[in-house]
Amino acid sequence: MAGRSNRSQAPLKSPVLHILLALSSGDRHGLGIADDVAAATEGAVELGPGTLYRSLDQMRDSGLVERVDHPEPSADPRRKYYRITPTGTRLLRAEMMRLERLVERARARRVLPESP
Amino acid sequence: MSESPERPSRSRLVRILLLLYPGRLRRDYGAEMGELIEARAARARADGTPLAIGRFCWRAIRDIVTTHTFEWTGRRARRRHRESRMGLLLLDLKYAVRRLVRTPVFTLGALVIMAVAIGANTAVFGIVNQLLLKPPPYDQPERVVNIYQDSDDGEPSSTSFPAYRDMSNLEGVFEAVSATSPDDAILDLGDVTRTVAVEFTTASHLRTLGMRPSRGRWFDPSMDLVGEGNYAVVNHRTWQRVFGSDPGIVGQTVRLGGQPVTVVGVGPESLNGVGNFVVTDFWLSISTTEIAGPFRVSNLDRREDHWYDVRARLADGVTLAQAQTAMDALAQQLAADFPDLNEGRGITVFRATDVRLHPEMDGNIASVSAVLMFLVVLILVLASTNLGSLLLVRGVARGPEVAVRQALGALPGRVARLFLGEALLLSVAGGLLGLVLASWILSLLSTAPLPVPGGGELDLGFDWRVLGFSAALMLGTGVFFGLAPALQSARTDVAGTLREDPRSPGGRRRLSLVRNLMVAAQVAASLILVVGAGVMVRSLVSYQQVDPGVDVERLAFLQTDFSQVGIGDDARAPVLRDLTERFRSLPGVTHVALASRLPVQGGGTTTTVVEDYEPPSGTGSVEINWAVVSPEYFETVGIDILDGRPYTPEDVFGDERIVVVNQAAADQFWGGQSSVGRRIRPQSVPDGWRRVVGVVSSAKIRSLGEPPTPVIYYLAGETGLNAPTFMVRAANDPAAALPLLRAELTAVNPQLPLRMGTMESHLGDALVATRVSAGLLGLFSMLALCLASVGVYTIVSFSVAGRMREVGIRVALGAARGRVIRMVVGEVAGTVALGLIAGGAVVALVSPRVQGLLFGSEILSLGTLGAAVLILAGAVGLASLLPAWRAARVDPAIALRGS
Repeated sequence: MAGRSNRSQAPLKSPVLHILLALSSGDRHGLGIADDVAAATEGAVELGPGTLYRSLDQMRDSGLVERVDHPEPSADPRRKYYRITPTGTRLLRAEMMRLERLVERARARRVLPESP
Repeated sequence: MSESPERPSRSRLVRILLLLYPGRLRRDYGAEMGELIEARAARARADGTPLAIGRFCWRAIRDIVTTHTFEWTGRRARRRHRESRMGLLLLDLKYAVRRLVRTPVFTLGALVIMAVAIGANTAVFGIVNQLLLKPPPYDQPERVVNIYQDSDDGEPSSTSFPAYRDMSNLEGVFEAVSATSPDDAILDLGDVTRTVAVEFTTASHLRTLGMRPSRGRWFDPSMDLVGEGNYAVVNHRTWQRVFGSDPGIVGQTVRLGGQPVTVVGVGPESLNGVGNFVVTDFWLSISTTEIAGPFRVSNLDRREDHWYDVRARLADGVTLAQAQTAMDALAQQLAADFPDLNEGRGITVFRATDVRLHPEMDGNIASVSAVLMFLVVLILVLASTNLGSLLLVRGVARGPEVAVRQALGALPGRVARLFLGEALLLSVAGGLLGLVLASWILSLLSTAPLPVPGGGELDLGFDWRVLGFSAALMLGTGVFFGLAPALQSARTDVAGTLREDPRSPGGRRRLSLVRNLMVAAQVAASLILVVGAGVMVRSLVSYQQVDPGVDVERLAFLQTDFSQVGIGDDARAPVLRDLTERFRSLPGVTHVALASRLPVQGGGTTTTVVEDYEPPSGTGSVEINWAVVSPEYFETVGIDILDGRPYTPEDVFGDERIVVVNQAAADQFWGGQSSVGRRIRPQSVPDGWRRVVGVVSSAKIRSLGEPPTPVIYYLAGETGLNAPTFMVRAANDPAAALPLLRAELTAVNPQLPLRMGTMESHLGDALVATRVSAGLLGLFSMLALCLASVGVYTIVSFSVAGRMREVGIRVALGAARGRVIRMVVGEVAGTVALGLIAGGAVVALVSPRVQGLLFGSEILSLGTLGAAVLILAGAVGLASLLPAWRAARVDPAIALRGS
């Protein structure tokens, strides 16, 4: 389908990218994702509940993440955990490579300082 | 609430905030979202600064607003997408209908072509399905087997009733064994009589098949004994059609063969007779055999008469191989007990699912079906390539429209869909008409009596296989002939077309390749059909040129059956004499004779031992066709006496056992040496030798196509014949004698059944199958010629129209008209030649397979093929000349102006 290939080439929406990054280091529940994003961006990005769960909902629909059982018995049973799927991982990697190429171009044109 | 007083207010805040989010999200993620809001609120409160609280509030509002916005736009986009898709489809459909209605001639023509093509395919597939594909309706059909005793030639044939008894007496092999024997009888319905197909059937039949009657009951074992009364089970279909589904049929008495027969039940709905596609109107118990005459009764005990088809249900756990072993043992036992009759005669077991009609005939049915399917598929190919090229041309004519659409932003896929939709609409609508046509053809065929002795009707109709086949055809052909124009439209060169630049119609070369292939396919298919028609016509002509060996021009015949009205053996002789005298005294009648069968009408063979002749089968006996005739027969029908003498009236009362044979018999058995004085005897009567007193010229006995066939003419005895054929020779027109003959017969007994006609009409009837196929093929090939010509005409016209400017320049520069015509025609000539070669190759490939089904002409005779090529080349040549001629006459000034 045309829509599918377009999406894979367009930049990922910021919340989606942040959620995938957060899940790349392991399964997390919603609150855990929000905290991880906030911590990693030093509070610059704070995913609101609507944005977070709407994104998660869409990402589950398109097969980027899935809901899983609690990874540890000690985990809070009410909390639902999310895991990145192989598709999600591939997409994340592709997006990161795209960004990397973008950054390299920026360096080559001296928008950014040369990497050390 | 003894906890912290702040707690409920926090929860309330969370609840209020949550309520502001879209309901769908709240339902699925409410708890988690609440937790997150609480955590954020807690952090803001812990910070305590107005800035933190303000940021919390701002972010909450922003999150709620963006979430709503995205939810709303997402939903709307989805809905709009769905709606627009439906709308577009409807629009496309409406548009296609409108376009088709605007060109009624094209549309009607296309619909008729599709209806004929799909109708013919569906009808033929319906027949093939019934003959070859439909599984038998039996319970656990894999356990039902057909058992055949060998014929004298060592091929599985049919079984004698005593052998059936032996089989059913075997222990442990079969759960049930049944025997059936087809025949016909006259059903007297009071005001009308009709010939119906019956099957004499044992009581075990339905148990063998694992079926139950739909009403009443089946026969009891006591009804397997002659003299236990007359009982019938009526076929479900006959019950519906003849008796109007009368619920009171069970227990009623019907008159069959002049005898009262009690109906005890109605057969299973899905069960027919022979091969399960020929309708058996009545199953009659073995006890009813008497209504068919004493001969049938006597052969219930005769091991030399193989009149029965035996089926059996394997006992639990018994395999086909075990059943075959048991039958081998039985065959050896029979050979030991009756060496004269059964020495070397095998018994073969077939799975019922592997036999359609009879192992000997299935191959023929399959080849005839294959030929029929091949023909109708040809017509389908022809029709769909023809429509394909027409649509292609239409598509090109619509080039500007397509270009405008694309310039306005229509995606190529959508434009292609328009064309495909139009094609599918045509094929489905045409196909539905075709279904109506097919069901009409099938109902016509299934009410027409079969042109075989014994008659019977075919049970033909639609089932899911036929409907599926026809649906696949509709979609397949629609996509097939819609694809080319669709693809071409998608490739339209928008700018070029809009500039009206004649040099740049997009993809013209590729397009013309597809178009040319379509024309070539049409030419090829037409050639095959024309050759087929030619072969059938030649076949028919050669049949008509066959000398049947009798005086066709002045002969009439009249057949009746005394047993059908209860005239027994004793009463027969005076009636026969009376009738013969009455016929003979009619004005214009010169000779009257009696016979047991008509020439060219099929009939029985008898197992015969011939003195001084060792048959190739090694069994010591040979199957020979026979007829019983009165002394006047040979002179009456115009068969010449070649050697010895004919029968004389004195022979009828004489004691000497004599016989007359035909020349073919004399040649085969005694190699042309003098045959008079040689002896033959029925195999079953060791001391029944008969001396040959005469040899007569060979007349056709079964079919016009047969080679010279040995025939034994026995002399009709005093009591004459049960079902006599009167041969009447007229001084002039035999047809004039027919009403007089009928009047005399009615005067003797108005109840007597009657079949009469002239010899000429009888031979015509014998050719009915050939005549019908020649007619059909002729019709098809005419249709093919028309289609191919229209196809070539359209394509040449189109190609000329596209090159008007060029033609104009050429003519302006002084090109001769003839040159222009040659140029235009030359372009299509290669394509036509390609089609002719391809068609010829198919004919060469197929002809060895159908050779055996035809009579007379060699199918690939160069004459037939050459004539077909000439006819076809002439037709398409004319079709291409017309536009070429028009092109050559074009006024260069007009052409160059580009209009």
